[in-house]
Amino acid sequence: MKEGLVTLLVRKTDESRRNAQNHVESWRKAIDAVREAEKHAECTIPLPSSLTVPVSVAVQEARVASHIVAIDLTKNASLARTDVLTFATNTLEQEIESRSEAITRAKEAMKWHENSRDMKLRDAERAKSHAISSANDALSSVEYSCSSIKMDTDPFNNMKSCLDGGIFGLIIILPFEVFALLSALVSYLLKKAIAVPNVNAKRQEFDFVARQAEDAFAQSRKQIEREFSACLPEREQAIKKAEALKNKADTALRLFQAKA
Amino acid sequence: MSTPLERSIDNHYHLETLAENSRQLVEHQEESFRMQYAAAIANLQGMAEITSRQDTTNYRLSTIVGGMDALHATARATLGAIYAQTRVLQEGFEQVAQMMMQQQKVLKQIADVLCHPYETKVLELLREADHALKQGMTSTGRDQKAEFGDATKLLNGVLKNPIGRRNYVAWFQVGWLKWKYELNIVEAEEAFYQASRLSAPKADLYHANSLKHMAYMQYLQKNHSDAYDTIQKAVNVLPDDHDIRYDAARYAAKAGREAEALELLERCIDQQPQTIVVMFSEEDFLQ
Repeated sequence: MKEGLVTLLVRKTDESRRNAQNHVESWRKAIDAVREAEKHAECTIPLPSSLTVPVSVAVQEARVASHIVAIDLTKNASLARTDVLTFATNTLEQEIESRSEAITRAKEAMKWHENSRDMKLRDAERAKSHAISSANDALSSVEYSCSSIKMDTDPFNNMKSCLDGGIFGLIIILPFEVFALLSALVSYLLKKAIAVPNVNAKRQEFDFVARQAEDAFAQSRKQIEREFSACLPEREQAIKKAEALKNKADTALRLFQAKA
Repeated sequence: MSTPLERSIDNHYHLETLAENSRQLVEHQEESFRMQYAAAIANLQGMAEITSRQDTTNYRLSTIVGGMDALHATARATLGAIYAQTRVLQEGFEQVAQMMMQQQKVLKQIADVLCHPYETKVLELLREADHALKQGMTSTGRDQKAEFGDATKLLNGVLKNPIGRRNYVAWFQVGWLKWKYELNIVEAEEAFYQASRLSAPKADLYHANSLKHMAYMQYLQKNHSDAYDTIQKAVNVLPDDHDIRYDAARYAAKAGREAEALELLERCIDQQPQTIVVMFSEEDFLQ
């Protein structure tokens, strides 16, 4: 019985030591996997020293531990490994989340930039439209004035015709000098009173204003597009970089979970 | 060879009846493990010195003994530190303590249920007997003797009643008093037998306890074969109970069934790792 008991002791101790060694090894591998994940994800996973330092001691202890201590080591190693995995997974998940947020922020900045360009373009277009419509209004009012003047000047023209036509009638009554003076005065007064606007000049003016507005708009648009394009690669780069970083963290987590 | 240590069964019912909380039970187990640990280390060292064979087993034994010795040496001054370091032991003790507290409740429930059909007189006798038994368990010297004497008389009064004779809790308590107070192993075995017989239809905790104690009485009378047979019945009632399985290993070893004893011990070690130390403190396994 004694020998059987000793054999049992040796066998059970061997078993528990092997088990402890396996668990400690798994714990060590989990720490290695964390270090690898750090490299893949390009971030630091600050494992608490209580989860990393005792592993080297445990490796040695597991070889010489008694049955009970070996079981204790197994339990501790198993718990520590779980803690390492949980800590690293949580850290990587947080990293992925913060990198996803960075992508969202970069995309929002891009959108804001595009919106700002569109707004500027709309403003420039509005300014152009305003200039053209103002000029157009001015032209319309001139044209309207012209048509009004045409109607208003008819009585005067009649009067002048009368004056011109009545020369013969009046020649008898008024001396020629007086008549001539009167006629000149009427013409002067008529011209002064009616002051007929030059529609063609106004139309040219309008065309000029419209062209200028178009030119200004084109220039503004060019300027806005230039400004937008200048920032675009930087912003696209920022998004790409953020996406690449997030992908790295994703891959690191996947690889870590597969490995650990 | 180490001096025989108390077995857990020696105090089991006493502790189970009186423990107020699991902490008390844990402390008791720690104390008894401390002694078993020291005895086991001494036995193992003795075995390593005696054995002259230089085979692999022997070599490994010496490394283990060396390891345990080193652990023992460093921990001797602060033995408590071992328990702090080994969660396994703590958890094991706590688990046993909780189980015993649970069993305490179950035993009380069984006793209460059995009291139910009795007339006032028998009921009073049972209550007083229980009270005296507990008082005796908590006192010492003359007081204890007087209390146990009262408990015995009261229980005998219960057993004189035709219905009271069917109360297996009373029989169990009589058996316990015969063993502990009167030191009458033969009559104690008979009382535990009656308790096990009457509790058989219910196959409850008292039934398993009766069989376990009956087997122990047979063991004390060196009827190892009978003890082995009786403990098998207890194993059938509570197949996962560590203490019953451990006793089964002991009686198997004493009955010359070495392979069976080792198999049972291995299962005990898997269930409670400290068994690997405790078994080396037992003379029954080292003969």
